[in-house]
Amino acid sequence: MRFTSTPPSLAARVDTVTVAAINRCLPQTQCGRCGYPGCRPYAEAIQQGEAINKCPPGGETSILRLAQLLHQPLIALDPAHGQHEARKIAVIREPECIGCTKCIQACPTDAILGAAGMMHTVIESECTGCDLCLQPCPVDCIDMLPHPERSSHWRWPFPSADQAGGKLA
Amino acid sequence: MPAISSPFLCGARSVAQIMQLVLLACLPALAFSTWFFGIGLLLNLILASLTALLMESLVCLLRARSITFTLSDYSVLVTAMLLSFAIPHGAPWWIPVSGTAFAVLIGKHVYGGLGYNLFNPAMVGYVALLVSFPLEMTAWHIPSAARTAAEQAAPLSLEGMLITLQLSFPFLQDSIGGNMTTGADGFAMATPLIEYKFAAPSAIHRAWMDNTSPFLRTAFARSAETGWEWINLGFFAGGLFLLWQRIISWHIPVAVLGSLGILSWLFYQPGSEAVYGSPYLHLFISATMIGAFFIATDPVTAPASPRARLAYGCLIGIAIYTLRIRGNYLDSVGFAILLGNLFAPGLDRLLPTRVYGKSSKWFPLRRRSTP
Amino acid sequence: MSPGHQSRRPGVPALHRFNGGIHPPVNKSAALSHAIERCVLAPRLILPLAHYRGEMAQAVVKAGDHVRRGQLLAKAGGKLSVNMHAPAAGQISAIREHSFPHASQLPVRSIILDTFNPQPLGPEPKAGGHQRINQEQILAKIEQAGIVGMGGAGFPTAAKLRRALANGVQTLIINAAECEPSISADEALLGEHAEEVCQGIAILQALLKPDVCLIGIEDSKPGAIAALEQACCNRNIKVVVIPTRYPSGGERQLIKILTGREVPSGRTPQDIQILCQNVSTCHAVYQAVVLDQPLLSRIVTVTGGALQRPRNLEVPLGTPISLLLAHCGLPADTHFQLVHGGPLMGFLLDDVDTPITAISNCIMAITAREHQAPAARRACIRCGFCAEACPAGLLPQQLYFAIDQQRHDSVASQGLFDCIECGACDYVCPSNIPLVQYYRAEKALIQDSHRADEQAAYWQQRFEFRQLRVKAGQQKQSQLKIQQEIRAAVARSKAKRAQREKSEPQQQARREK
Repeated sequence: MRFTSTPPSLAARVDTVTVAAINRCLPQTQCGRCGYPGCRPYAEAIQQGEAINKCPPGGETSILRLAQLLHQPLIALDPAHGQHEARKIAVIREPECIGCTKCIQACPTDAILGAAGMMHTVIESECTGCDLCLQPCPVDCIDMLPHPERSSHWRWPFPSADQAGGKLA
Repeated sequence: MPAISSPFLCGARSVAQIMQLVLLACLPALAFSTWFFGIGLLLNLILASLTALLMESLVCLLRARSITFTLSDYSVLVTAMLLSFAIPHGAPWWIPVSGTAFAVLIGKHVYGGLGYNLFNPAMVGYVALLVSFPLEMTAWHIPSAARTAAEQAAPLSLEGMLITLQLSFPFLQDSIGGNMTTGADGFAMATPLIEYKFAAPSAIHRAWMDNTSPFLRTAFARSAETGWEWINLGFFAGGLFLLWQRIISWHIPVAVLGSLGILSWLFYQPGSEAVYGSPYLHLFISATMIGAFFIATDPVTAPASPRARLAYGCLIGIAIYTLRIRGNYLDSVGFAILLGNLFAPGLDRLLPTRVYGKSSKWFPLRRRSTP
Repeated sequence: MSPGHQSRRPGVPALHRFNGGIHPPVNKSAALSHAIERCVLAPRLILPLAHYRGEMAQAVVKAGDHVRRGQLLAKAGGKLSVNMHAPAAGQISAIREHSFPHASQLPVRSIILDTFNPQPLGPEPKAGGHQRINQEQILAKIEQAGIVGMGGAGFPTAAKLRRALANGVQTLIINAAECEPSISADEALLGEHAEEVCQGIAILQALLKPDVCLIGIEDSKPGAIAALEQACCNRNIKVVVIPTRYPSGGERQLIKILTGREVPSGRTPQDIQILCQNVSTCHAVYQAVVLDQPLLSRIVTVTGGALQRPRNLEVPLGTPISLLLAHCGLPADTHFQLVHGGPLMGFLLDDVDTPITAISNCIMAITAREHQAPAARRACIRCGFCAEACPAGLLPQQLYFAIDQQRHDSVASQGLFDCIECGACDYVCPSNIPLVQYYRAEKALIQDSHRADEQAAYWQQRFEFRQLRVKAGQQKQSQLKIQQEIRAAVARSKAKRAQREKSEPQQQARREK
C-alpha cells in the first residue's frame, strides 16, 4: 500500500479528471449506500470534492484506484456507510413470493423478472448484490447468498507465505 | 485441501547445497594460502566462522526465527570464508571477529537476512574493517620464512604456526614459548601490488622458464609473490568448478576479467615510467580472481538477466582498474564490488531479458522462415 | 539465439534453439515397454459438458434415453465448445453435477451414461476416401466429430483450423515432441498407428495446403521416429528430430526450434501462418474423416510408483480414473496422490472417479516415497537459475517480487501473460518457492479484475438505461395526464354545449311561449 499526499501542483489537475473516469473506479453496484442515488451521482460528487471512502462494495480496491486517479492520500473505508464484503447475489425463495412487483421496482439494474401476481426470479448475471430489493419485500422472501463456486470462475489461490513448491505434500 | 500447483518435481540443488559447493570451491585457494603463508588464514577462518554462526544465532533469537533452519543454509559460513580471505594473516583476533559481526549484523540481517541484502556482507565487513582499522588491515604478518625460499617448511613448522598463533592472540605471547612475533616479518601489503609496484613479472612463469631446477620445486618455493599467484590460480580453478557445476554463470566473471584485462592491456607500457602493471599482474595477483568468481557472482547482490550481468561485470572491472590506478586503497576489489552491488537492481530493470515473442530494438523478430 | 546444429537428415531444415529449458529425469520406459492395451468398458461413463474456458455444451438427450454408440449427446454451445458423442451404447441415467478434470476440483454438469453389457454390435466403421470431399466437408466432419486439441489445451480443432484457413498456412507443424517426463501416450500411438496419424496429417495438408509440413519429435523416442519415417517416406512430410529438452513440446517453443521464428506476444501461431497440431489430434482427424467416427476414446498414459503395471491404455472418454488404476494394478490400501497430466504441468485430483476427457493424456498415481515431503521454503536468493531455465525469456524472480509486492501493473508489463506455466523455474528454484502458483494466481487476479470492470460497465449501462426508461415513463404519464385533462376539458365543454343546445330549444320554446 502506497500512501501519498497531494502535491500542490497535482491538486490542480484533479478538476480536469472527468466524471466518467471517476465513475469507472466505482463498482457500479448502484446500491446508494454512499448516500447518493447511484454510482454516477457519487462520482459527480467526488469530482466536486466529496470523500472517496464512502463506497462499501468497492472497498479498498475502489479507494486505491480513486486515490491514484485523483492524487489523494489513501484513507480507510468510512464505517458509517457499511463494511466491505464479497459480492453476493439476491435469491428469491420462490414458494414464498406473492408477486407484488415491489422488488422489481426497486432493482436498479432490472435484474428481477416477474409480473404482478406471478412469481419473481433474479437473473444471476445481472444482479449487483446491492440489497435494495430486500427492504421493499413485504414477505421477506429474498436472501443474499454468496456467489456459487464454479470451475469457470475459479481462481488459483496465492500460495501461503511458507508453502514450498516443487514436491507433493 | 488447498490447491497446490504443478510442477510436482523438484530437480535443483537447495540453497544449502549451493553454499556448500561454494565453500568447496574455496578449498584450493585455502590450501595454497596455508602452504605459502602458514595457518594465519585458517585462524581467521575459524574465528570468523564461529563469530558468524554465533551472530546469526543471536539474530534468529531476536527475530524469533528457527536457529537450526537459518544456519542450515550455510550462507553465513560463505560470508565468513570470503571475509577471512580478505583479512591479513596474523591480524589480531578481534579483527576477524568484529569484521564478521559487522558483516552478519549490518551487512546481512539489518536488510532482512539472506536474499534481502543490497550489498555483499563479506565486502561490507571488509570495507568497514578497512576504514576503521587501516593499520591492522594492511599489515600482513607472515612468518619471515614465508618470504624466503631457503627455509622450506617454515610457515607450517611448529615455530611458524606458533608465531601466527601469537600474532592472532597477542595475549598468548607470554604463556606459549615466549614472544616469537619478532620472527614474523610484517610488511604492509594489502596485496603484493605495493611491494612490487605493478612491475613484477609472473613468478610462476619465471619458474616455468627456469630450466635449472624442477618446475614444481621453484613454483612452490615460498615467496609472497608466488604465493599470491597460486592463491589466485586456486580461486580460478574453484571458479571454473563453480561454472562447471552451473552454480554461477559465465557472464559476470568474463565481464569482470575481460574489462579489467582489456583496460590493463591498453594502458600497460612496459619500460615506461608510468607503469600501471601488466594484464597478468592485474588478473592473477591481488584479489581479482576471488572477486570475479566468488564475490561479484554472489547471487543475492548481482543482477539476474544475462545482459545486466555483463554490464555489472564490466562496471566492476572498470571500477577495479580505476580505483587501483587512481584510488588511495590499493586493493580496490571490495569497493568496486560494493559499487557494482549498488547498481545491480537498476541494471536488472534497465537490461532485462528479452521475452519470447516480444520485439525489441536489439532483437527484432524474424519475419519469414527459410525452409 | 544462434541457429543450432545441423540435423543429420538431408532435406531437413536447420534446428534453432529456444531460450532456457530443463532436463528433468525421464520416466517413460515402464509404460512404453508394453503395447497399448484396451481398457474395459466402464459400467458408468461420465461425460462433463464443460469445455474450453468454461463454455458449456448443450445436452440433446435427457435422463432415461437409450443411446447407441457414437450418437450425439450434446451440441456445441458456442464457439469454444464441441459436440459430444456416446462412447458406448447405454442409457442416460442422469444429467447432474460431477467432478471433472480441472485444477479447481469443482463439479460441473455431466451426462451420466450407464453402459449396456454386452455392447450391441454396431456397423463396422468403413474406410472411405477423403480425396473426393472438399475442404468444407472435411471441416464439417472434424467439427461434427467434436475434436479438440488433445495435447492438453483442449481448444476446439475445427475453430483453430477455420482461423488458420482464413489467415493462410505456410508451415504446418505436427507436435510429437511430448516433452513431459512421464507422458508417453503420443509415443505409444506413433509406435502402433503411425500410418493412421500420417493419413490424418495428409488430410490436414489437403485442407490447409501448407508450403511445408514438419513433424517435431524429441530424439529420445527412436521407436516412434522409425515408425514415423517409414510412414512418411512417400509423403511430403518431414520428420525433424529435435534435442530432448523440456519444454520443447510447448507450441511456441517447438515453432522456434523448427522455424526459428517466434510467435509475437499475445498472438497465436495462426497469425504468422503457422499451425500446430498434436499427433493424437491428427489421429482423431483420421478417424473422423476417413472412418466417420467421432471422438470416442483416447490413449492415456497411466503411470506412477503406486501402480504395479504402468501402461498406455486406450480409454473410452468418460471412464472413471479408478477403473484405469484397477487395470494397471493398484494394490489395495496404497496411499497415493492422483495427478492429471504430467508431473510438470498437471494438476492434483482427489476424486478417483473423475472421468477421462479428451485432454487427459496422463494419469499418475504417485506414492509419498516418490515425492518426499517438500523441503522447507527459503527466501529467494536471486540466483537467477529461474531466468536461465525460463523458455519464455522472463525474469521469474523479478515477477515473483512484483507479485509479492502487489505491483500489478509492473507484473503485466514484465510479461506475466507470456508465461506458459511450464514449471521450469519452479523445478530449478533452490529455495523451493512455488513460483508457478504465484503466476497462476496473479494471472487469475488480473483477469478477474478485468472481468469485474467489464461487468461494472455492463451494470452501469443497465442502470442508466433503466433511469432513462423510468424518466421516459414518468414523462409519458405526465403527458397522459395532460391529455386526459385536455380530454376532460373538451368533454366538459362538449357536455356544456350539448346541455346548452339541449336547453336552448327549451328556452326558445319558453320564449315562444
